[in-house]
Amino acid sequence: MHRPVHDPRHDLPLHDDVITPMHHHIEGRDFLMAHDERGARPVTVDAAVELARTRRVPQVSEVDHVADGPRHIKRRSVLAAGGVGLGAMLMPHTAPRMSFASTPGNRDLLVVVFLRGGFDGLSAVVPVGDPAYYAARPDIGVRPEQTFALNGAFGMNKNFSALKPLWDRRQVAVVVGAGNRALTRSHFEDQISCELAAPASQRSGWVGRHLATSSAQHGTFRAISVGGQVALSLTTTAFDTLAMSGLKEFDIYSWGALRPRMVGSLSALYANAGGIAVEQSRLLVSAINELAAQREVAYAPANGAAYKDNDFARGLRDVAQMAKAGVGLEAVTIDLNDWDMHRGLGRAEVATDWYSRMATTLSEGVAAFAADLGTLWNSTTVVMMSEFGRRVAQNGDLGLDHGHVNTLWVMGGGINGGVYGTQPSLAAGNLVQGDVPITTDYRTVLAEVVAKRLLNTKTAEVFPGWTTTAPLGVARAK
Amino acid sequence: MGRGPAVPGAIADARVEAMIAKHYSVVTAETGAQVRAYTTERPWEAAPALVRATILRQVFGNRHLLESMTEFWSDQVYVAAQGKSESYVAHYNHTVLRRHALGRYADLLLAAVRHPALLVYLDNDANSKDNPNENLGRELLELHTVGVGNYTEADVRQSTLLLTGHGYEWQSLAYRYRPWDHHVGALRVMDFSDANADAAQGEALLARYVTHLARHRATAKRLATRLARRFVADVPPAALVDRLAATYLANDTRIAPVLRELFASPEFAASVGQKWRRPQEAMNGMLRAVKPADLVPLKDPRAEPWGTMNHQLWLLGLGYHQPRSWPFVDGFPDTADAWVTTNILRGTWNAAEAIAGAWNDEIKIPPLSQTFPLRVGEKVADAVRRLTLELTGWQWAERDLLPVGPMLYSWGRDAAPPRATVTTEMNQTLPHAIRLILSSPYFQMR
Repeated sequence: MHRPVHDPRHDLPLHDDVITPMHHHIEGRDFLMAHDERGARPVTVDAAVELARTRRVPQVSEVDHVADGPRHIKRRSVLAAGGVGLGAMLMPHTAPRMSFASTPGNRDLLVVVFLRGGFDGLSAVVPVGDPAYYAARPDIGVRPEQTFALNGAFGMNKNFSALKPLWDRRQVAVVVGAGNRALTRSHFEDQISCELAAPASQRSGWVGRHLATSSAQHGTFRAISVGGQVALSLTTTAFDTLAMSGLKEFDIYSWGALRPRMVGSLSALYANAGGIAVEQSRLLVSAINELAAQREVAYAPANGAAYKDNDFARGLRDVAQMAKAGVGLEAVTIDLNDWDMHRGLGRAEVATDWYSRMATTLSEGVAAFAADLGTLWNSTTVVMMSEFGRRVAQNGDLGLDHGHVNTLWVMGGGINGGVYGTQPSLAAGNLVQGDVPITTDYRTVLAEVVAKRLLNTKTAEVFPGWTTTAPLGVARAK
Repeated sequence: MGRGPAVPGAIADARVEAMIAKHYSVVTAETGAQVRAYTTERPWEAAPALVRATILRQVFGNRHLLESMTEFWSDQVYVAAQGKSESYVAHYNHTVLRRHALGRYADLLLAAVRHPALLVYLDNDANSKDNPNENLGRELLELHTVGVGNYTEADVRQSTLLLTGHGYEWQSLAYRYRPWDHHVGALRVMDFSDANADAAQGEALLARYVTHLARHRATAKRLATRLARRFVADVPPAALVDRLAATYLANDTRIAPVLRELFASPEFAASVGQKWRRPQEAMNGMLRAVKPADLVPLKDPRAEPWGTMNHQLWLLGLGYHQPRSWPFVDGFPDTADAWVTTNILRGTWNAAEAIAGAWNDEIKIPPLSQTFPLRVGEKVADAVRRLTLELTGWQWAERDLLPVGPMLYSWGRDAAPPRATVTTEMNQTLPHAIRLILSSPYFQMR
């Protein structure tokens, strides 16, 4: 029934001499077989990890993460044996025909990176020529020598230098002074506000409304949120969207002849359940079924793309795989959290300081994603946004309290790189409650992307209550 | 309602408390010094112990209301287990949330803002007159009391100044007020004002301020809404919320009268099946349902709490609901749209497989055929009706019972003929039926 598979994908941290990953012939279920003094026997993951640990095998770096909790162990040891994540099953050459064209309507793939916690734009796109900036941030202001030049007035924090090749190719647009006039400085109210990008009475987000108004067709993989919950921006009353994490994990545990009966029975029970469970369960089962044939493929990023070992990079790698597989993916949301730096934001010259680490994770992830996509990058747009920016002046704990205006990023093969928007000197007299004044409504930028890259002319429906203004020119028309 | 013991201590709960005393007794430490002593100067190990003790109480405990309310407060005045406050979160849970869970909210909140866990989590230990830090000053208004829409940015800054000087001492892990860091001068936050003329009186000022906020009408409304959302419906009935808020105010922020009003209400009586269980409740409930025997940790929990109970924690991770793991300061959401997602449904169904299949090496599950004995010769339909009722508390619709029977008699065969009566070999296939029942929508309803 179980047969050992000697496959380079199974480069397990658990060591084949102790634990052999086993394959089930039906659904690619990775099972674990332990070999020890008690003979060969199937074991649970916990027992396997325990065995591997107690065997004192030399390569223990992965298993050492035990102290961080179980999720890493599980993901690395069983579910993503060999580090295969979402989309591993979606190699183009083995992908069966999905229900949808690979580039529906020739629209760009939209990837919205939400930087939750309140991203500090002034530490990224640094007003190096503004003495008032350094006066307001004597300790944590990013010195000019810690930046690479964007134009005469601004430099980019060098911890984002992974993005410099894209900047040099003029594929990175940053909009300073962009913001949401409705802000309350509450993380939660403001995330809701700018993800909906509509009056609060709306029950949909801007990406969801774009999807609903651009095509009546909706497929399993048209839009996904990486993570447990669907991002608010992706919600729509028109259809349900998929929340998923690593695709290798994205399976229902059940095997053999029982499996179709179990899944079918669950489907039947949930179809009767009522409420949102009906559609979510249907979507779950169809996603898992549609991906079933492709679960065995190991994914190798293209063009030397080097994704780092963190959830954000893994998520983007998964998205790249989905995009290449042509399953009809049009919109993705992915979060990078932990920007709420009330204290100890750190200094740009210290790579291990809080902001520097986050900037490195963010920029390396996006850079690897762009490289991996290859020519698909020409039809991909990445928007990076946050619920609000942070106060101009440091607060004395080497941190920054909640602010207002922010830097909005748009990147992609169809983007006109550069610094957009206006930002006055940060002298106290120019600030509003200690913040940079808003000079560009963030919806101006999003609407331009929706119109030019997503080929949706219904921007009034996507951004209800907003009056169209002249685009900044961040995106090229297709 | 109202006929049970008046205090949770009257409900026998010796079993789980003995388990906690044996494995994770650091979670009942009263002081930071006790935490230090217990962990031999590694106080951060109290956090993984708390996470595991929380699961144990949900799986093995009997004081459901106390646990429910402790969980409710842990989302209302949230402190994450990992990160800045890991050394303090366990005795915060014990001495603030659990102790006051059924007491006065004014007392709970004052104890919280005088506890290092919350002070560190929201950076107030770094809030001084020379370097104000707004984190707690804002969230105290937004999350813990009146909510957005009831205060201005100026109020946030005044609230922040009022909180200056309230920090902690790292040696003892105890609250400490530092008058020299306290801003002096008149303050006004919404309808609260104080001359604040003497830094030495900062602690009394804090008590006045927090009590004022706890007694605020907007706080009453906000808490009433959250309680009704927890126990009745995602969109709570407005009339019930108004009654609960009025009860809260009339009883000087006492929680027990509010809960009595809530549980005696027709809205509560009508709420059965209106709420989707969050993954912690669903998955720990699955484990509870199969009547686990005991915890036999793989590691010494006192030396390596993080090395224990990781199987059940992993399942909770599939539901994105490990205790105190929400990455933001507002606590876990409490409406179905946050939890009924493709990814979390997958986790729920898989947790049922792992639990019915007894994958857990530390929490031993007796053979299901002993716990839920099938009667040879009994009609399969009757056995299924009995099993579903016993495991979920619901009488299933007939159409929903139909898929359960085949789990007992057709596994492993391509086209097994339906069996009308129970045979002994169905003891082997019983776990498949139980997995389906635990995964079912019936089990996920409150």
